Amino acid sequence: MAQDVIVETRNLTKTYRDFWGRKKKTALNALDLSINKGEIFGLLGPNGSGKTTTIKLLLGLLFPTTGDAFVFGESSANVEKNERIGYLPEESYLYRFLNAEETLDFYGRLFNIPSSVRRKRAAELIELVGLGNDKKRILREYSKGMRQRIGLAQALINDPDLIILDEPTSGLDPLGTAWMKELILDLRNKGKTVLMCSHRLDDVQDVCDRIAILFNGDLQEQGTVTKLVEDAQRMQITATGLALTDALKHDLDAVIKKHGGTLDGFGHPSTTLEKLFLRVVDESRARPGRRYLPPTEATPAAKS
Amino acid sequence: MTPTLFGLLILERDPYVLADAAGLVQAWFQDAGGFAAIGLFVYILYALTIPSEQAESAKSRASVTTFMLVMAVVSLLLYVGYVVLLAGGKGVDVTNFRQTSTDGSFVKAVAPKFSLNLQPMALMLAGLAAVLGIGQPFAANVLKMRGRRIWALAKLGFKEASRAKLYWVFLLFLLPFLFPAKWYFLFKAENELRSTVSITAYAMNFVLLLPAVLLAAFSIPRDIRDQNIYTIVTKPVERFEIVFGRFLGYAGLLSVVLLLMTTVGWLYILTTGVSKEAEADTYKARVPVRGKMVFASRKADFQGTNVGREFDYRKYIAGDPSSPQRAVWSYPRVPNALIRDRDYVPCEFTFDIFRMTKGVENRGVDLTVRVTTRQAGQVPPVDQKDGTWRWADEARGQLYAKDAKDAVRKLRGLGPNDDVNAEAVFRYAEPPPPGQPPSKEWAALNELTEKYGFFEIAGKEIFDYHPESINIPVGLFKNAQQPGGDASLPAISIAIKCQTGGQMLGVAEGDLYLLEGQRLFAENYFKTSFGLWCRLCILVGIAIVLSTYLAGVIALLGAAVTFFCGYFGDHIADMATGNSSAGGPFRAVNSLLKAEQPTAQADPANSLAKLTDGGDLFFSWMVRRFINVVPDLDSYSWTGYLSEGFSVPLECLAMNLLTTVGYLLPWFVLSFYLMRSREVAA
Ligand SMILES: Nc1ncnc2c1ncn2[C@@H]1O[C@H](COP(=O)(O)OP(=O)(O)OP(=O)(O)O)[C@@H](O)[C@H]1O
Ligand SMILES: [Mg+2]
Repeated sequence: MAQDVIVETRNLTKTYRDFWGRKKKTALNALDLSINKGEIFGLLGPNGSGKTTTIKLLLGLLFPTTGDAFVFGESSANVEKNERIGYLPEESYLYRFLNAEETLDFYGRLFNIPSSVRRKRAAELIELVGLGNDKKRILREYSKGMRQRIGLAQALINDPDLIILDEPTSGLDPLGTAWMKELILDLRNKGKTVLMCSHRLDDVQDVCDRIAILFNGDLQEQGTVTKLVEDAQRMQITATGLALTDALKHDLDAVIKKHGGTLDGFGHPSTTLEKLFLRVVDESRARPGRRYLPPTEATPAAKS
Repeated sequence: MTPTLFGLLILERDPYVLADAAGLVQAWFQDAGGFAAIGLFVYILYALTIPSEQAESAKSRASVTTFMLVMAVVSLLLYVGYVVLLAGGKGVDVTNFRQTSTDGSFVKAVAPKFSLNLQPMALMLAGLAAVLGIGQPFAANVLKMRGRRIWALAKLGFKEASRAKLYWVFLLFLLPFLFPAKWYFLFKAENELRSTVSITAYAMNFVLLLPAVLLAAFSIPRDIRDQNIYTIVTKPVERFEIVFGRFLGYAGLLSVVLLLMTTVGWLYILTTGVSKEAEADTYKARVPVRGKMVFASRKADFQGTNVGREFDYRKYIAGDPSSPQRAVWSYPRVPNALIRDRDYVPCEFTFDIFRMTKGVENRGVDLTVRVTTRQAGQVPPVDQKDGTWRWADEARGQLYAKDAKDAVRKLRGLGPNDDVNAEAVFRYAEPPPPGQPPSKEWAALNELTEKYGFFEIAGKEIFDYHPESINIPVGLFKNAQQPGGDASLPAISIAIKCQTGGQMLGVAEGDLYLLEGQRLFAENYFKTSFGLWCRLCILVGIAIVLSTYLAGVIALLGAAVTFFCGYFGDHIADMATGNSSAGGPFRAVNSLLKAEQPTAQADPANSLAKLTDGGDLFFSWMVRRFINVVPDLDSYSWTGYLSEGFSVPLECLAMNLLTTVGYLLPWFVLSFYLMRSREVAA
């Protein structure tokens, strides 16, 4: 079990301070997370909820105010853990005066990869992200989506075990988004662990195994996607090829009544994660200080 | 013998040579060690105050190893020991007794020497322990560095500069060549090369140093601002690798540019050339052998006279046939190179003439140059009216005079009782041109010199600031290598006497030297650039280190100020070492208030004077710390050597490299700690 935990945070808190040490903003408050090997974990939350902050803390770009972050069981301050991490920043911050090939070569060198391996991998990755025709152009000339693609290639240059993606689909067209999702699933199938954050709920719902929802630095909800969106009290029946008629409603009502239920309504299914997300955000707004409680602690609390 | 035109090198201090290395290393451990100790203690105190419930990463960022603790304790104990020694007045550094001038005149700065006295040793060892302590995490980090990563980061700087078309800036350097200075100014022939050399040197300094500091100061801050650094520090890159990679990149880039510029400058000098008159003496790279100079007279404490010129680099001896005053250059040993396959060794000199009376129109001043070895020790005359020094061994002196006369009689085919003037005959003996047999006179003179170790030229006429030369028969140097004679004397002494009455002759140690040979001008030209290269490295280093913590503009200003203070380092050093007799600012204020003459000796019994002297002591200590931080830029300037036609010794360049590394190392250690504690995403 302990071996399988790739990322772990304990009581991770980050307070941004200004130059004089005055408190500006607590971006993350006592976060406890653990991500297991081989899963795709999604961090969800509205803008400014602390997703990027969490990722930066894991990578050692920021130092925690209190609490700890561990990756591969090592402290986030450790440089050597980076050997096995691939990171795609929120916006891809690469050197704009390099072309795609040079970019990959540069980052490959930083991983101390020998040149033959480096060249082979760079060529493969450029094909993978579909920049074969643009590999000699400098990044300044790239479009947002192309930059996102080369950013992804850069994150994969070391064949990492843990891939951290900050809003991987931002800037991508629908085709690109589908391709990116495919790729993420592919990585998982290869046994990699993926941590991604996004506010595009359909993306998250399609690929993530587990998610955590952050609001204003607080963890609000955590669990597997299917569990979270499942509503044990209610049941959904989907069918195709039906027209909405009064007769259909009447018949369904009768069937449901016969089995002791009530028909609440019917229509086209909506994205349930979106509902969940909006509900969580609404609740958090209504009740400031609301926090996610892990199930083990939630049970006794509910009893009392 | 045509006079040489160049050779007016003013040596305010000797460049460091390999022999100075031990002393410099000791001084480095004393000074850098002091800074290291402060750093180490502050670091350990800081690490110990991190509360135990703090995050593990905070503790790992400020980890204190047992080794560091032990070194801190050792260092502290040694400093305590030093203070005890200091209070007890024991183990004082007698080797580096600082010569301070009493009359405000020029004192040549000397390199620190290695001292085995207890106080300096305690300081050095305390510093050593502190350096080891604070350096341990740094060294561990350095061991983790990988060439591939550093090279990648270095190449990045290279590419960035070239894709930003930075080379256009360097083309500015060509401007002065397009409009040669001689179009605008009229130069004396002998000044033409001097100005070409100094104009190229200024242009190169300007065109290289400015982009250097701009590139270096902004690179890391820009990486942080543009967040490129996110993709770098999230790779397995040690923080110091970022600093060092950047340093190598920019230093490498500028080195290439420097090499190109030097080549262009050299081609320019080759193609445009200098006027015919100057040519013969211009493209020289003399290899001088320099000695130590002392003043000597009948009175043992004669120190030379100060004639009150504002630039008191030179001191003066009085001119008169009856003057016993001499300026004596001495050589403890004779380099073998002076004896190897040659007939004579030129001795070149340039002096200042201070006229007390107008003198004779168009006449210079007459000198007597007497060169002696251990076997011909000289003593000042006893008689007041007598200006001629005598042989210590009088019998030998008489023997010499007799032999000289005999030799001349033999040359002239005269009888044993004919009267001859040996001096007059030998005065005009000329050494043979290369590859030809010597004249009979020269051969006889050489033989005589080799036998007695005595050679004198009287009535050598010189002009103000005009280089002159005499040729010393090689026999004298052979004599100097023979055993025998007074072992307490230097192997060779060259005594200068001024014969012309009413004139004062101004001399400084650098004014006279023996000429070992010549090297290639081209070689010298390229060697000169090495000094600039060291300066470039220093500037790039400071700027990058400061930029790891400061914003680009502030780093730029900080580096520029630190660097340019280096140009005044020598003057600040004078103040710190108390070379200026007016004392430091505290004493100056005190004497101002009391309306004393600034040069009046402070009354040692006066408590206020004591207090101000104490204040000045503290001030000079502070200034010395300031000097530690500021680079010693003067020592990297070889333009004077080049333009005056002196070869730049290779060992001095090696010392340049050593001092550059010694200067940059503490900065790099600082950058390691700054970079490690920096939250790049905040
Ligand atoms: N360097 C900083 N200094 C001060 N406050 C910061 C800094 N970086 C982020 N914050 C604040 O921390 C909070 C969380 O920011 P964070 O970037 O983690 O949000 P996010 O969840 O990634 O949002 P988005 O979806 O917009 O990317 C925000 O309120 C933000 O203003
Ligand atoms: Mg974000």
